Amino acid sequence: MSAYIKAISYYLPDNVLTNEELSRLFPEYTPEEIFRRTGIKERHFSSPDEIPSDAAVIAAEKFFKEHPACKKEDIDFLIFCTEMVDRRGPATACILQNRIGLPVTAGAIDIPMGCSGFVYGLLVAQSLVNSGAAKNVLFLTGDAATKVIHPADHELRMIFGDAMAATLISNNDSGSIGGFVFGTDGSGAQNLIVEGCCGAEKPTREWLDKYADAGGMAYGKLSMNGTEILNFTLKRVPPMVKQLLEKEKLALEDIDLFIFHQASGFMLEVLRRKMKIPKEKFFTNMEYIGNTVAATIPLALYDALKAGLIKKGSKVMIAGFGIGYSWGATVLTF
Amino acid sequence: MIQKLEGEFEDIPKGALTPSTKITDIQGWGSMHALIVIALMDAEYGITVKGDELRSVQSIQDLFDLAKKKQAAL
Repeated sequence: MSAYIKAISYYLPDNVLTNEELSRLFPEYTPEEIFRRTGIKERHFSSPDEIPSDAAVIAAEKFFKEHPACKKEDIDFLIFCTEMVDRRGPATACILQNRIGLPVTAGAIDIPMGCSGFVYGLLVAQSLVNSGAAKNVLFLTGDAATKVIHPADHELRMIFGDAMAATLISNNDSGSIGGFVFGTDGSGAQNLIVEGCCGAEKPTREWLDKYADAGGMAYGKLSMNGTEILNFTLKRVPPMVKQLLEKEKLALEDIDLFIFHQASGFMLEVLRRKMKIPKEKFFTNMEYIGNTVAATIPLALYDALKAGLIKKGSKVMIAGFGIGYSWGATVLTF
Repeated sequence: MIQKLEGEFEDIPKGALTPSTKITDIQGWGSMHALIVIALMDAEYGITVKGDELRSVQSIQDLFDLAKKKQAAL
């Protein structure tokens, strides 16, 4: 008996930002050029009054409707992974237990992680299940990066979108979640960071005034040093993949599908070429979704499953990497 | 390296680049080109070029010299 991914659903907000609209806002880029740079045609963004916990409730409801065999009353642990929690306290997962209607006997925790969040949450869920502490872990993963992007920041607006995924990790003898490799390098924190919020940089009146024309940027403001993020990725991801294959005693050819954090089309193609992964084994689904931070991997898993690319017995490597710097990977067997 | 660069920068004609071309003068030069150069340096020479190093480079010849210097130090 071991932990495995039983089912996934996801929610995308209805609002769509197209390349045509971006090109109208930033006339120096044509829609075709934006697609060539990013591999993205559309991104979804949440309404001003919808925060990730609201999206989590919608994603959970969608999950139980789409998978009627999975029942709310069977959930004995809830993990909520986002970098935009409701408040300093209580944990948003506690609020979600009540809003979703999960049993009061369930445990509930937040994991405030970004691009690597799905992999880290899965590691926690696997540990809970394999230790016998929980049988059915509902794992809600996603973010609303568009709320921390300045409207004039064309680079970030071209890449990021909002989404929320719901994944159920259960105990069964079919399928498994394998061993994990991971790492952290906080010396790179400044290269992908949300500034102007929370404890280290409390929001000030000056900040709100400075960004008054952008609604005050009260959630904080995301800034990215693209060249350093690319260098970090090139430095850490290929060795992580190699380390995981060694740990799991697998060759690259043994993996049926690679699903990496959908960072950007350019970055994924650079990584794929560097690691010599065949195109047909390298799944991407960001064209009409964008980079949805902690949600990219479960969204891609869902779409790959739906497309029939993952079959019973398939080995799928998932790898998350980014803000932190933080990275992690595992092999899923279906 | 010039051929590789021309191959990666889809929007410039063949033969447009010479060793003395200033990289910031390349047609449409911007943040995306910087990423392309960094990825190319990694793939072709196995070296890491940081963003500020790239900003201090003037010409394509300088870039090539930087790559050779870094490669020798590996």
